[in-house]
Amino acid sequence: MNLVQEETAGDPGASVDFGPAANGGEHSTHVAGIVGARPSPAFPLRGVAPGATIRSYRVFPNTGKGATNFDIMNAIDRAVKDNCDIINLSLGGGSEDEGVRAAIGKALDHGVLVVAAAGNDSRKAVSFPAAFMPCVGVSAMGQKGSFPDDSSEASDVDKPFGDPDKTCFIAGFSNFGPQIDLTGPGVGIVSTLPDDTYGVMSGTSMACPAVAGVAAHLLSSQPAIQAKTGTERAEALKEALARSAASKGFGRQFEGFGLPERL
Amino acid sequence: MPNRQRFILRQMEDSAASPSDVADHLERTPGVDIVSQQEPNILIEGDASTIDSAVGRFPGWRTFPMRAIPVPTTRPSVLKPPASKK
Repeated sequence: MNLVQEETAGDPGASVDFGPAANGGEHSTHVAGIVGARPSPAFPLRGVAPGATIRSYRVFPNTGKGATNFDIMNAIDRAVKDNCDIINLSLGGGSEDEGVRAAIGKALDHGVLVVAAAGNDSRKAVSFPAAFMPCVGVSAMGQKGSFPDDSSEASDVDKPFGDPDKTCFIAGFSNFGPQIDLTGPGVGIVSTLPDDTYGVMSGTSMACPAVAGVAAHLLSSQPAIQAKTGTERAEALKEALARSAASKGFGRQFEGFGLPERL
Repeated sequence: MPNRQRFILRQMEDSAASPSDVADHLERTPGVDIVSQQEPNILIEGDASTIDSAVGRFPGWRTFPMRAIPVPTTRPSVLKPPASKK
């Protein structure tokens, strides 16, 4: 389904700025597949939560230029209005933005959990909005042996390594800091691409939807959380995510509570 | 000529003036242009002082400067060529 085409129907200006995913939306197609790809005989990829309903709110235009905080605020507001339970933000950068913070705050007030990527600036401070404490900030880890030794992913291998599993590592590109809540797989990740293909990407953008997928699974299996409303609901889901995680031995500022059990 | 910038106006409280009322006022304000609207946000362009005085009369609304967020980098990139194998 190409939600971009549906949502820009009848708006020529928006159609130019936000064309079909094949023209520039591969990042979000890859992210969506990590959350909820449904396997078929011809296409055997399975996301973390294949039963989840996914909605796409595109903020990066075809020009290749960045998004604006106006785009991101509108996307978050629309997701809340559409009664989404979880928002995955595989984006970020720069200093804290009060406008995006206000939109995230409203989402949390409505019980929506916001999961955000820590950023790929090679051990710099956690990007905003992942650095916004109510969000679930996600770093990226990898595992030696899950990609060829001579692939470009090998350049992402860096300290800290796991303990006791030394094959695991926090990706060299991943940011870190006290705002990290969890880590997720983000090196050499195979997922969906436009035009019924698939391919490899690496980034905290990939680790983030893996954690969001676990959150979707937890929410669907825990009626007690579903019954809550407002900030209590988002906080309960965030706590359930933390409880589901196990430390890989990287250290608190690199992994938070660790890797969620299902990943 | 005043330095024109883009700002986002956001309705922060449900009890505040409605987005359509605020937009109507801004459309009548010289030096301020509405670029885009999607409730509860309005993207406007103008000089900061004109916008401040126009928005100041609407409690429960806040102004944020428009900012850019970079496209995520997720494609593998080779920083240096791999060592040749013998």
